[in-house]
Amino acid sequence: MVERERISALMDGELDDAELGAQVKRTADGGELARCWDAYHLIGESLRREPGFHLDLTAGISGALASEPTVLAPGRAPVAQPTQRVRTFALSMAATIAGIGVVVWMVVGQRSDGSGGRIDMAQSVAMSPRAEVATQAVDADVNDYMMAHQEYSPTAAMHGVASYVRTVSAR
Amino acid sequence: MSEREIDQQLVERAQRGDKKAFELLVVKYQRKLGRLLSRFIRDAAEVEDVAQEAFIKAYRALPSFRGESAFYTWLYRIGINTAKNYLVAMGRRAPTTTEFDSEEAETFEDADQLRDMNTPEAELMTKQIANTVNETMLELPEELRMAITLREIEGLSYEDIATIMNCPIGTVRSRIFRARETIAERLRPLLGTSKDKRW
Repeated sequence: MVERERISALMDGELDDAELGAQVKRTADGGELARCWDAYHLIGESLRREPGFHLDLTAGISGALASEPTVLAPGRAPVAQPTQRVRTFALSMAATIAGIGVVVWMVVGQRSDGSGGRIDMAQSVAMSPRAEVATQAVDADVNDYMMAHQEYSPTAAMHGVASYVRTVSAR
Repeated sequence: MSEREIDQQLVERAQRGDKKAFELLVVKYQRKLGRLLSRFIRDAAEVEDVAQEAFIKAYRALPSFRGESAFYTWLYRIGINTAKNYLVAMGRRAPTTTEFDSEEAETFEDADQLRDMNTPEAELMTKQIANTVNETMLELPEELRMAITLREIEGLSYEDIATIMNCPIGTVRSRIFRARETIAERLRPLLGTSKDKRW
């Protein structure tokens, strides 16, 4: 394919991706290929009977762009293909159904042996931890005694403020 | 591939730092944008300035272009805003929102106003180009004329044209190219390229 035939394919979007970059560069570098690109578009506009308008900004824009910093846009996040979405949905549905199946199987299995299905309220109550309210009758005398002998306590081996913790909490 | 997809290819290259790709979009749309702006700005030199400013603004704004609309629709809005700001800065009446947002403005076909704007030389050249293109089209072999018509006027892809014309895609590509080359060859004297210079 000759160079100008590639430009013709480029403007119709029929050029291979592999050729696209190099062809864009060669075409826009100015000279005959740039004029060819312009002429082919002019022919298309004329065939579509678009009103003629004389305007040539190429030199001005090219100069202005040269002094512009190169733009670098962040790439777009790839959009999940429909097949990928279907696969993801199917896998999550399968996992959900499997989870429900395991739970149902366990419940049915427990009921079928005749012992697990009955809820023994008494046992339940017995097994539950009883919340006992610790009624600590703080004996002031004991506390005074403990404070007086705290240095003999095994906690004295601890450094820092640890040995005073009991004292503070007692107060 | 649709026109929008073709532009998107070039836009994405420009977004990755390829200024040349953006220059190709400028060449492609400069006349169309100029025609649009001439609806609001009468002076040809001013149209040129505003069109250039609009393209530079578009280039700077490329990172924000996400392809939700066609490139030209996006460029059109930038062009309109640039023209509006220009007219306000010049102390002239900016067109109303209705005028700006009108769908009609995008497909502006008012040739009478363009005739007023173009210089007599530019007007003559426009006529000569149209006549040359039409005459050459009539002289083209049937298969070339049909191929370029299906592509340029009907907007069909090479694959669709190949189906209609019952020939390989490579043949379609070749026929369209040969049609363009034949017409371009006839336009060369009008477009100011010397005989010894190839396109």
